[in-house]
Formats: sequence, structure tokens, C-alpha cells
Amino acid sequence: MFERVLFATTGSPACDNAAKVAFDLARVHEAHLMMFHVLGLPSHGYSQLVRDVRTGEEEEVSEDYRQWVEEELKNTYELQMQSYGKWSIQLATGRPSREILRAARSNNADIVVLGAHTKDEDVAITKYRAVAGNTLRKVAKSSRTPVLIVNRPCDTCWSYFSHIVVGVDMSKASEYAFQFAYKTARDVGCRLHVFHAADLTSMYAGKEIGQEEIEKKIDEAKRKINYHYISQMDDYDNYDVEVWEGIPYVEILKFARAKEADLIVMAHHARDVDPEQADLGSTVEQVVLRAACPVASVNHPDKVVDM
Amino acid sequence: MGQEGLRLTAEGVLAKQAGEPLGADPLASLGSSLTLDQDCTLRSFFRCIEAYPDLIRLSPFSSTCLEEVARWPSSDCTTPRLRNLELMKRVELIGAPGERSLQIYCLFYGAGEEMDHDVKEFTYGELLDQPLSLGPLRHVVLGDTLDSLDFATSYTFFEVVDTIIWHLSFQGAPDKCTL
Repeated sequence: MFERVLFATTGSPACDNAAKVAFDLARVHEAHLMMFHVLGLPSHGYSQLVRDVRTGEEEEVSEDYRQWVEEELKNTYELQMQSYGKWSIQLATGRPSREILRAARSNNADIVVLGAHTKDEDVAITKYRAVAGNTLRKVAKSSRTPVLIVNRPCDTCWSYFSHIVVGVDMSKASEYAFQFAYKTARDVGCRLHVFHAADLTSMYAGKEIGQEEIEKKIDEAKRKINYHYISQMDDYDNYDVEVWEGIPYVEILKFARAKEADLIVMAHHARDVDPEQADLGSTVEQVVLRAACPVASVNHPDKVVDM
Repeated sequence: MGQEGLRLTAEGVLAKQAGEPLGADPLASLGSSLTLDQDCTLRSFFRCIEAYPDLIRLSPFSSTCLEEVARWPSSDCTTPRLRNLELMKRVELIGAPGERSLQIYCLFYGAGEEMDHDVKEFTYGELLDQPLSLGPLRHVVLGDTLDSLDFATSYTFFEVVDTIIWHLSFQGAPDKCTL
């Protein structure tokens, strides 16, 4: 299913949980794991000086410096590297998001794994600044490869997944997310929960809605889910469909917790938005930061069709 | 005339400074300054939220938090890693280089003997009976957290509710890892 896994890391503790999932994923699929690290942004055009992402110090990109960074990465992931041998390290200089996207493309990666932040940041400030890390935002926005975001310790290893939740909103991008979730569930042999949150409050601009109207909307959403998604599943019957009413990110989190989900899959932006123009959807951001399990953001069909 | 201050007791009762309990409508008092009795715990806070159901609507996560509280024992929910739970206000000057801005926000964290911890590292079973206190305002200039200044400050009732629920909405890390 995955032959090439790209794990983008700063080598800091903020990426430890993502590292565990990346190695685990590569091991299960006997894939080649590319550990990718961006040394830093050149201080000005063609400069040999970069600001080190971990120390914040200016460094000259010499062969010695590159070797030192590579050695640091090997020390950081020593245990994982010992337990799985098919890996390589790639270093680059430049803007992290652009270099990650370039590496995913040039290495023909099947999936990109990364943490939600490049450094640990207090959750309070996420209310006021960009919620997710800037690198993650830009990568998820433009990646043609599914992006697996790991923000917490992963409860189970990939092959032991029992429940995958896919959040759908009937958009085109949602269809790719569904296909990724369905193929993963079929491959692992686990239950697929197809979930939609109907945000009726925003639909009716804060007006009180009667129970009858809510049930009508929920039935309508279920019919659409059957038409758009369930009809694609051939004879796979290990699934269920749920539609809840409420704020989408809150309901998805509640649902994922109730089902003890091992993976949440979502399209990375709201419906009917040009993928090139879309920013990381606020629903995905809020889910990524609070979910107890990894979240896969899928935006393009490229890698999903061939899975 | 300013709004009368409120006091939260260990039993979760919101009282006016004169002593009588607050009436049934807490929304009009969200802007009042709040003090906590010395024996207040996180459980006292949730008892207060339960007592005034209107407060649940302040955050989409309040009801999930209350469900979580109900799952745990009614006493001894503490951990030796924490001394108490504390709110803190932070004023942060950001920029130079970069766009200059000033952020004012509230934190809710666990104060340990040697270091502070994110509350998301703990289950409710380790937090509910921890003492709860209102900390100082910290002024951080241009990201230099080592050279910051602390000032005495006050908190509104809304700040306390909003901050605690916001931070607890990040709970949910699995506690049974690791294969």
C-alpha cells in the first residue's frame, strides 16, 4: 500500500510521536522510510548561512555541519533505526514547507508523516495565532500526497488499528479522503466509521431548530453518504454510518473518542473550495490539535487512486 | 459603580463578596472579578458549572468535560507530580524581527515541585482534586521567557471559565500506549 514514506522532522521532541508512527508505518508496509530534515532558511539569496531550526543559531552549511546534523538525527532516532533498516536521511536548505513538498514529489512519496508543530507550544496561544504549525498548514494545503499528522502518542501500531473514522462533507476532496480511509480499512481489516457532522446552527444563523427539522436533515445527509460513498465499497461490510448534529470539529472529536478511533481521515478544507486556494480548514486544525490519534489529511486523488 | 466581585467556594458555590450565593443567572456576572477560596479544587469549578447550566453554553467542550468528570471517582483524584493547578495571565510582546504585536492571554497549567506541566499530560483522575489557584500576570518581552516580570492581577469570572475549559478541551491523550 505504501512503498515510500517521507517523514519530515526537525529532530526535536515535538516530532517524537510522529517518528514512532512513521517507523511503524514503514515497517508494516516494508516501505522505504525517508527521514527528511530542512537545515534552515538561508539568511539571504545564495547565502551559505542558515538559521538552525533547533538551536536558532546561524550556521554555515559546510560538509562538517551537514555531517553533524545527520549524526544528530541518527542519535535521536537510534532505537527506531536499529529496529528497522530500510531508511535514508535527506537534508535540504530552504523554506521547510516548500522543501517538504519538493521532496515528496521528487521521491514519489506515498505518504508524508509530520508532527503538528515544529516545537512544543502552549495551547493557550493557539487561540490567537495560527492554530497549527505554519509548515503543516502549507504542506497540507498543497500536498498531492496524503499527509499523516501525529500530535499525540499513537495508541496502537498501524497494523493493529481497529477503528478508522472518516469525516465527510460530500465535497470532492472528501471523496478522496473517503477512498484513502476505505482502502486503509480494507488493507488493515478494521472497521470504518463514515461520519458527517451537520452544522445546522450555522445553516440557520443561530435560530432554534425543531427536532423534526434536525431529523430530516440527518436523514438527507445519510442518503447522500450512501449515494456518494457507501456505493463504492463493493462487498466490504465492516462499516457504519453516523450523522450527528453540531459543530463539526467538536462532533468528530466526540465521535472519535467514543469509537476509540486509531485514525481520523479528513479532507483538509471545507467543501467547494479550490484546493490551490484553500488554507488548512479550521475543522482539521482543531481536530489535529485535540485528537488522541493520528489524523490523515487528504486533498488530492493522485496517490489515493493507486493505493 | 463596578460589578461586585464573586467568590468560588470549595463546594462550587458562587457567592457575592458579602456572602450570599449568586442567583440563578450567572451570565450577568461573567465580567465580575473572581477570587477562589483557599481549599478550591478543579472539582469545585465543575460543581459550579453543573450548578449553573447556562455556563455550559460558553464552550462547545463544557458538556464533554462534565461527562469526563462523571467518569472518575468522587475523591482522591490527584497526582504527586503536581502541587496545584494554576491560571496565569501572560502579556507577550512579539516581533522585531517580524511583525510587531502584543498578545494578552490566559494559561491554565499544572505547577509541579520542579517544573510546570501542560494539563493535557494528565487524566481527569489526576486533576480533579488538585488545589486550584489564580496566579500572577507575567510580562514576556520579545520571547525572552527567562527575563520576564510577574505582577499581581485579577481575573474575571469569564476568563476563569473560558481558560479552564479551553485547556481541558485538549485532553484525551491515550493512557495505555505503547506497543
